Amino acid sequence: MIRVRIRRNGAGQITGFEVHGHAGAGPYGQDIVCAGVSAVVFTALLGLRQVAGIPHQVVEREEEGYLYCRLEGGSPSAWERAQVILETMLAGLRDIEKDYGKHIRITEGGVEP
Amino acid sequence: MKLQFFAQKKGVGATKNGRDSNPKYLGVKRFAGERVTAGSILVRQRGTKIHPGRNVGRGGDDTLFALVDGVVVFGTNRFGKKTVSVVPVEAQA
Repeated sequence: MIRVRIRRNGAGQITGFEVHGHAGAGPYGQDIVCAGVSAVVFTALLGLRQVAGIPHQVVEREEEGYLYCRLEGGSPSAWERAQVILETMLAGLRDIEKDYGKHIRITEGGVEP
Repeated sequence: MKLQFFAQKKGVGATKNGRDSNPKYLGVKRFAGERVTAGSILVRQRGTKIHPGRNVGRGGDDTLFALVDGVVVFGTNRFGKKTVSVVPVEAQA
């Protein structure tokens, strides 16, 4: 089961997210849920770097299937683009969750300081 | 793009445990009051949980065995350690 945790600030903006676990929807190389989640998440990371150009911290531990991302400042326009990217990522993950709820669970919580 | 980043890694599920040695059937083989003949094994043990007393020998693997025919008697030595002895039959009468 992949667990996704979205973190927001007091204004409701996404400040980071954490994805942890193994989908378990198939053997390595054929796990379609893992592939879908990976594509959505890594595309969002590409967007943060190449499109929004916002400073952010990423921690990856592939062995554990663990990925952590946190925005770290940036201009208001970069922040706005980042919000669009992250909200789109969340919409995609939620849509996957609708059909593969046994393999992915999304929660929101933990307001960043 | 790492499309299998959140997939169960190959072979990771295999457990690293699952090994065990063969049973050694250790323990006391002759109990207090039993009649034994010379050479009978009294205790199989690792280390001297029970120490040899009178008329009892100790093997290389700490096995205790009777040196004479007689009756098994358990006791403790002056250090408070458990011991096993064999009291020869005529001495006991």
